[in-house]
Amino acid sequence: MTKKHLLLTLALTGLLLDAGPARADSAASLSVSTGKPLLLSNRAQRTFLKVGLVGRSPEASSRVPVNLALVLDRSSSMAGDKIAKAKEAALMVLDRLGKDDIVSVVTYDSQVEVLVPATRLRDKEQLAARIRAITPRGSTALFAGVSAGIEEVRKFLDNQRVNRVILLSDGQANVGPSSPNELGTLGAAAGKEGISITTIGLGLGYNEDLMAQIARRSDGNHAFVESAEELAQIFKLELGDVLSVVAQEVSVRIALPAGFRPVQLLNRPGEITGQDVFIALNQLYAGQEKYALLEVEAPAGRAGEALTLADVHVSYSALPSGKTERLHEAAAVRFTDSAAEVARAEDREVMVAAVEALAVKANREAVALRDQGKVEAAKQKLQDNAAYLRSSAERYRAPRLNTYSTQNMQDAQNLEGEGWNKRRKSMRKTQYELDTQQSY
Amino acid sequence: MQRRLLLVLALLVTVPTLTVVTLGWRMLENQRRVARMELETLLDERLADLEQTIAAELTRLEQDLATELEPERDGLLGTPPTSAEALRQLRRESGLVGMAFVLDPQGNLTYPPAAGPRSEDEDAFMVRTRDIWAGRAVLYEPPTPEPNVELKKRVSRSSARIAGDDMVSLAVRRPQGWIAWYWQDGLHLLFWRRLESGGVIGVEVERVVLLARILGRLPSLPVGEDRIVLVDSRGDAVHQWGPYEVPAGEAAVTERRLPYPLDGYRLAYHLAPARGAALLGASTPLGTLAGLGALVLALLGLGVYAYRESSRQVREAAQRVTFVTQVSHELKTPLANIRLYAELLDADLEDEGGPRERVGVIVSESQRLARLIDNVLVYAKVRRGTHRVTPVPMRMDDAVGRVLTQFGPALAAKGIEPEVTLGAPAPCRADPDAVEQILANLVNNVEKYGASGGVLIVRTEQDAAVTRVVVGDRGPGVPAAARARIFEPFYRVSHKLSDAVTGTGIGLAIARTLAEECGGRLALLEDRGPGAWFALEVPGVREEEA
Repeated sequence: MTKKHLLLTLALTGLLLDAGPARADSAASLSVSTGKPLLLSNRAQRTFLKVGLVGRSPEASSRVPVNLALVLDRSSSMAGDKIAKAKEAALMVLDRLGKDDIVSVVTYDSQVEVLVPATRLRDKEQLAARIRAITPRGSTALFAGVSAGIEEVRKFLDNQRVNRVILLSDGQANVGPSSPNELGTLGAAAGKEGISITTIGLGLGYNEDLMAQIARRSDGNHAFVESAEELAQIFKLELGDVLSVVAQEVSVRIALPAGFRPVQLLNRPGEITGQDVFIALNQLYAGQEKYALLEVEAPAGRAGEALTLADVHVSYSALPSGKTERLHEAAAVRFTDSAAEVARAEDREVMVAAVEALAVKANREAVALRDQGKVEAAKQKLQDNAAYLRSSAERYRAPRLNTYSTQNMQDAQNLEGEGWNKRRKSMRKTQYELDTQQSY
Repeated sequence: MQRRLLLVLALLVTVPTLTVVTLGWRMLENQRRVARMELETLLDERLADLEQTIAAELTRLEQDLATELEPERDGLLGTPPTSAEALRQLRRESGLVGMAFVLDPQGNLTYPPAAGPRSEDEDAFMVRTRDIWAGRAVLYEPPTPEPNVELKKRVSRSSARIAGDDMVSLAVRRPQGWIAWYWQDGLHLLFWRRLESGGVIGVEVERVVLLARILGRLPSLPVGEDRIVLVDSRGDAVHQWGPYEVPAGEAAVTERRLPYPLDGYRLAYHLAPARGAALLGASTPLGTLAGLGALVLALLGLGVYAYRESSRQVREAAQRVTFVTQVSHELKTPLANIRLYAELLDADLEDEGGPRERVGVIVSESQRLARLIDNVLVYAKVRRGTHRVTPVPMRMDDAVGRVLTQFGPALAAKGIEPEVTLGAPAPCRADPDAVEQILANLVNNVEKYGASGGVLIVRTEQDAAVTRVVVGDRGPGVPAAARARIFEPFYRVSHKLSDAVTGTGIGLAIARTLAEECGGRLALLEDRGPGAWFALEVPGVREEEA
C-alpha cells in the first residue's frame, strides 16, 4: 500500500512521463474515442467520450492464483433443491481450483459460520465433506455473512491474486444492516481494497436492488438465477471470469481541458471533481472490454479548429507480475460548419454504447416509476425507450440495440401481476450486465 | 358430628401442608434467585469478554486510521496527506474512510475546499457536516474515566455531550479522538488527529464498514444453545451468535453497552429456555421437593385413613344401636304379654303366700325390663332426632304415686323405706309418660346405688311457675369427680367388675333430655348432706289451661 501510494503520488505530481500508447506486452490496451469527432462550429454542444480497456488475451501459461470466499445462504428458504444445487456448484468450484488457490467457505442463516477459514486448497476432500454437510436453517444474516466473507479474503489479501467473494442468496437480508445503500457501502469498502463481490440471486425471493448494489460498488458480477438448475452454469461462468483476470486495481483518470465540462458518467460510478474524472475498476478480464462513458459539454469552436477533448491516464497492476503499468491516450475534436460531415464522422461504436447506456438509464427510471405505483408512466417510458432503441439500431446499423428494444417492449408488458417480481429481477440484471459489460 | 370430624381432619392436613409448601417454596425461590444472580454474573462476564474483544478490534482499527493520517515516514515528500489530491486518494483506497477533512489552526475547513471544484460526495459531506463546522451540532465524546467507579457495571456510562467546543480546541488537549453525531439516518463518526502545524486532520468513518470489520473478525463464540445479539440503538439485531431463536419481546438475561464510539450498540444475552431451566434446575434441591411431596402425601394419607376409620366406627356404632333398638322393640310385645298375664295371674290368686309373691316378682321384673326397653327406645329416638313429648296439664303427686306403687315391691325387697312428702297437688305442665320415666330412672338409681342408706326421700313442692320433685337417698352419693359427667350418655361412675350393681349408663342422660324436652330441667343437688339428691323441675300450667 505504501509503495502503491508512493507511485500514485509520483504520478500525480507529474514526475513521471507519460507512459505512451499501449505496449505490445502490457496486460491491457486502452482506447479513447468520442462519439462525434467532428462538432458543429460556433455553438456549445454535448458529445460522449468512451474510455475502453481490453484485457490481453489469455495465454497458455499458468493462470493467476485466486483468493476466493464462497458466501452461501443456508437460511431455511434454501431447503430442498436450492441447497443441493448450491452445494453442487460450490463443489464444482473446488474442483476447478488448484493447490495454489486460497478458498474459504462462509455460510449464514441467522448467524454466521466460517465453515472453512481461508486456507490454501491442499485438502480438497475435507473441504468438500464440510460443504456436503451444510443443512438449511434459520433466517438471513446477509450483512454478517458478507462481512465474514470479506474478512476471510482480507486474511490473504494480495495484489498478485484475484481477490473475490461470491455471494449466493435467495432471500431478503433480515438480520443486521439490510438497506441497499448500507450493503452498497460495504461493497464499496471491499472494492477499495481490491475485493470484488459477485452476487448471485437465486429464485424470486431475494432483493435485487441490494444484490446489484453490492456488485456495482465492489465491481463484481451480478446474476439472477431463477432455477437452482442453472447455478452450476453460473458458477462456471463466474469462475471463468475469475480465472481470466489480467489486471487489477485499475484507476482511470480523465482530465478535461478548460472550456470542456464533464456532465455525467453514464454507466459506471465515479467521481467528477471540476475538470477531473476518476473511475476505479477492480479488474480487467482477458479478452473482455470494459468501458466508461462520459457525457461532455464542448465549448463553441471555430470551424477548422481542433481541440484536445480529454487526456486519459490509466494505471493498473498487471497479473501475475503485480507490476504497475500505465497507459495514456488522448481524444480530440474538430469543428466544422457542415452538419453532413458531422453525421458522417460519427463513431458508430461509441454512439451505440452511449445509446445503450442512456436506454439503461431510462429502463432504470421506468423501474423507479413502477416502484412508485405509476404503472402507466413506466409503461410509456419503456415503450418510448424501445422506440428510441429501434430507431437508433437502424441509424447505427446495430442489431444489439434491437435486442434491447425488444426486451424493453417485453418489460412494458410485464409491469403488473405475478410476472413483475421476476421481470424486475431480470431488468436489474440486464441493466447491470449492460452497464458493466459483464460477460454473462 | 361427621362433618365436624371431616373439618378437623381437613385442617389437620391442610395447615401443615400449606405451611410446609410455603416455606419450601420460599426456600426454593431464594435458591433460584441466588442461582439466577450467579448465572447473570457468569453471562455478564462472557459479554464483558466479548466487549473487550470488540474494544480491542476497535483500538486496532483506530490505530490503522491513525497510521493512514500520519505523514509517510519513508515517503519522498514527508508531509501528512493534507493536499486535496492526497485526501481524495486516501478515500479511494481506504474502505473505512467515507470522507477526509482538514482544519487549519483557526478551525477553518481547508478540505473539502470551501471554494473550488468539489465532487458530489464532497458536496454531500459538506451538507452533512455543516452544523459541525458552524459550531451548531451536538457532538458526543467518550466520558472521562472516573475513579472509584464500580468495576462491574451492567451498562457502562454512555458518551458525554460536548458543548461549545470545537475540534481544534479538543486537539489542544489530546492528540486524537472520536466524535459522534447524529444526522438523519443515525449515528455518524469522525476520527480526528492533531497536526504538527496546529490544525486537525480527520476522516468520516463508514459506520457500516467499521461494524463489518469488527464483526468479520470476531471469533465464533461458544454460546451453546443460547444466543448473544448485538443490538443497535433502534433495537434491531445487527449480529447474532448461537442458534436460539429469540421470541419477539423476550428480555435479555443481561446486557452490555459497546465501548465508545459504538455505545449506541449493546450486547444482549438470551438464554435458551431449556438450558436456562437446566442451569437453574441444577441448583434446585430435588430431594427437598421430593421430601416435601412425600410429607404432603403422608399427611393426606393419614387424614384419609383417619376419616375412613372413624366413619367405619361411627357406622358400626350406628348399626349396633339400630340392632339394639330393633331387638328392644321386638322384646316389647312379648314383655307386655308377660306383664299382662302375670298381673291377671296375680289377680286370680286369692290367697297370700308363696305363689303370689313369686308372681309379684315376675310383675316387678317385667316392669323393670319394660323401663329398660323404654329407655333404650327413647335414647335411640333422641339420637335420631325423632323423639317427641306432648306436655299436657298433669298432677305431679299422682305421677309420684304411680311410680312409687310400681317400685313398691322392689324397694321393699332391698329394704329401702320411702319417706314421701307430697306438696304438689295442683296441675303442672309436662308429658306424664316422660315424667314417670324420669322419676322411674331416679328411683331406680336409688334402688341400685343408694340401698345402703335404707331410705328413699321423695318430696314434691310447687308454686305458680314451677313444680319441683326432689328425689334423694342416704347412700354413698356421687363422687365429686364424677358430678360433672353423670348426665353424659354411657358414663358410669364405676366400671369395676366387682361392683354388684350394673346399668346401661343411659338412664340419667335420658332423664335430663326428657326433662328439657318438657320445658323443665333435671339437676344434681349438692350440699344436701350424704347421699345423692336430684331435683326435677317442670313448668306450671299456662293460664288458659288453669
